Amino acid sequence: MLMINGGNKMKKMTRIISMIFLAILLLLVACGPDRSERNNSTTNNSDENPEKPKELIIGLAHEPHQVEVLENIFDSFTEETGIKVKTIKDMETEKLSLDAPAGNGPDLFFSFHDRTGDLLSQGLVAPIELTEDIKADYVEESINAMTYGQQLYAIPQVIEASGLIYNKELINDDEVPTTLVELEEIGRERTDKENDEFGFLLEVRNAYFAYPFMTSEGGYIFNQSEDGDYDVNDIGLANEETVSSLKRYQGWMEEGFLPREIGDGTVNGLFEEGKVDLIVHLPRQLLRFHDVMGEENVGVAPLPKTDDGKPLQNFMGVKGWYISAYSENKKWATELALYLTNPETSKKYFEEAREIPANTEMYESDLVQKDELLGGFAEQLKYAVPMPNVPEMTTTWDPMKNALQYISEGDDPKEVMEEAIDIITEQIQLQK
Amino acid sequence: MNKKHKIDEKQHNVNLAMILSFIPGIGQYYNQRLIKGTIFFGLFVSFIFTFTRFLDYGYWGLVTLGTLTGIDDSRTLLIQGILAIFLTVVALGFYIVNIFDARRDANKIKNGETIPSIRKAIYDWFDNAFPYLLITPAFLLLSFVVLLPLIFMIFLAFTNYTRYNAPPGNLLEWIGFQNFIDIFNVPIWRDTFFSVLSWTVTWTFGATTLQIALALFLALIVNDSRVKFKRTIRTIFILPWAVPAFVSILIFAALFDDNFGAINRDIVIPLLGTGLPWMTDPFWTKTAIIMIQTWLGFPFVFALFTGVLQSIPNDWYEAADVDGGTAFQKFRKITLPHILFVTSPLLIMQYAANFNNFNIIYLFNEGGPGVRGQNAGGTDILISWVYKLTFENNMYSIAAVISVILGLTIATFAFFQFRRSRTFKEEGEI
Repeated sequence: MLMINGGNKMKKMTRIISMIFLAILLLLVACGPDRSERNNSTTNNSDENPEKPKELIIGLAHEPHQVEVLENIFDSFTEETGIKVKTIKDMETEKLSLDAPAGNGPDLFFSFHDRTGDLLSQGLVAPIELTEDIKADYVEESINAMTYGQQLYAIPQVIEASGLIYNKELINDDEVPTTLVELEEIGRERTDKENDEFGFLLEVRNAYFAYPFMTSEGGYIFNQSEDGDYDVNDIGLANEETVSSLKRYQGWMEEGFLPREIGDGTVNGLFEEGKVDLIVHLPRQLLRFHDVMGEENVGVAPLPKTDDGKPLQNFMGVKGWYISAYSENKKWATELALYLTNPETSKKYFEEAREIPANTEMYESDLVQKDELLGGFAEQLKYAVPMPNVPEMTTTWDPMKNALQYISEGDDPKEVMEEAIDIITEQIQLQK
Repeated sequence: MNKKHKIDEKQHNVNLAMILSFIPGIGQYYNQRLIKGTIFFGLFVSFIFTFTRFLDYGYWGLVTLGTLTGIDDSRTLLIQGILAIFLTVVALGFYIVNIFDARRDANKIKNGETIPSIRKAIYDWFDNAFPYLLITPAFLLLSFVVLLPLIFMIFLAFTNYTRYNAPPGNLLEWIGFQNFIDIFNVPIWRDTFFSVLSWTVTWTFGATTLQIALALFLALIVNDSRVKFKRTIRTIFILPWAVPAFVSILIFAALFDDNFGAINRDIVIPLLGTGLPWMTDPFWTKTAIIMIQTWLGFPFVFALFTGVLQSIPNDWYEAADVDGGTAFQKFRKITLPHILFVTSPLLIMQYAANFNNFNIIYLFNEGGPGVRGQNAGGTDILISWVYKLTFENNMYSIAAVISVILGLTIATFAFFQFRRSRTFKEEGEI
């Protein structure tokens, strides 16, 4: 054979070489891993009485001062049971969804009830079986919030909802409005826009805070059936009651005692400066106001009732403990979750971490209900409804916020809400 | 050494050497390069033993994306598949080097050249390869930090990764170009995509051109010989660059607040009698963010231009004066070409940066205000829309598709511009 130094021949050679190499690779690909051994290793969770593990791993999503309280609680759990508790701080769902399948995830983790649907569709949570007796130990709505498709997925620890926070230097305890009419009066009388003084404020376009006013006469985001399932195709944001509630809400802006647009920062800032009598906000913001304005100057009351005495419905947020689907100690993880939410621990957590417990005994106790700080929130929580826990819920916030914007600009609520429903429905369709 | 003399140089077959080295090392043995042959063969065997399973699993995962729901994690399999591809590329490179090495040595033998000792060969190799050795760590790091996520994202664009089909609870599947087709076929996607795209383009050209124009204007003025306190003025102009952009943007967002912001209260209302809806009307929000970006972005270009202006030799201008050139002619024929010649790649990067300027859009008004009947916000650019799709609606595949389109746009744009601008041409190409 003659050696030709031409490029063509070289190219052909390279091609042949790569083809041989690829052929080898394809042979390899054809094999694939042996699945039979992998299958067997995953069926070891069916034991009735599993062995006590040496250690449970728990994923937290708490503020630093709450972590401290929890760590004390873990210590006493270890004392009682001999099981060590190892914590993973700042357990985010993204991290969880990567770590758990790889075997580095927690047995038990903390999350918000409205994430339940998402966690479930990613296959990250295991169902929890509790007897009706044990379920009755928790506030009913908090158990409902953690239930998806009639199956319980988490043990609730704390519940929260917005309330009416007021400045005691501007308004007496007995002047705090208990009905919407009284609220409107306060708004009319005490608002002086020239001086930035407001009788009553909320972040007007944030559907979370506006929801009780959007639905003061009734309405819902997703219709809930008798057995607790949400129907995402039945959106009640444009029904008669909601539209008429929204017209009233819009009226407040037209009349001028509620600004058409105001951000969260401005609401809080004006309240801290002592220019606002009442705002609608969450417990965690209250704690901030305490630091800035002094405990004695800030009070909390439930939201006002409608004119015929019906309480307003705001969103209840429930936070609790989920069992990882990848945990090999599900039973003991459940034990730990129950321990973390028993009356004794709930009391300690309430006193030190300042969050309202979901444990019925503690929640109904005077300690919580009559609490200087959080009592007002605790009372409003009786009327709050859990925010729907279906994944579709996240799709609704932006369209609702935009709808509130158009309404604040004077557009017809019915038209705007119907458009919002169309957008929500369309987006839900697209995500499928 | 004396063995080599036994080879019949004329009879030595180059092609045979190549074919033999299809099993690495054998061709080298044929060339009488025993140590090299042993090293190559050893590497080949150990590669097969070490990586066969890894490659097998990697490619299997890449093709199937897992078969057992809840046990296989498609994302992990995808990453292992990409690593398998990386490994294959490296191995293939080595393999080809091995074949060509056999050929080269065979040719040398045939031509009667002496083959250097192994020691000298290593020494020569090290001499030649030294720069490559130096860049290897950086290159490897780059492949993992940049290339791996990039390829992962590109692959995601061809899967059905949505909120309801999310690993690890579900398996992903390859769905080909379906997501790309959807973006252009499903009306709500198409309409939103094109309206967002058109604002993105307007934004990119408007904001960037303004910031360059302002920088050029100020640089020329400050550079004029009649201006005193040049250093102080320059320092002041560069200040917006010194504050982290996100802080400035958040402060601007507060300043532009419709009801409580200083801009409306202290400037617009005293002048016009009524405030402007900076945060609630798309037109005014757009105006505001273009102005803010101009303010934020001009110092860098200003610094750049100032530096270049000082490097223009004065005698050019003197020569122009002798010929009776006007000030404008001097600018048009001397200053501008000189500035653009040096800075054009950096200016192009300014356009690219604004095309993907997530910070200002999201921090100023979260892409809002809303526009009735539209899916994305009034000031959303593609990148902030992708963010919302991913983190608010968990539509990973569609977000990946838009990111791929974004990346391709930027890459094409940059590629052609860089090719055209002379600065990046290598020596001798000009």
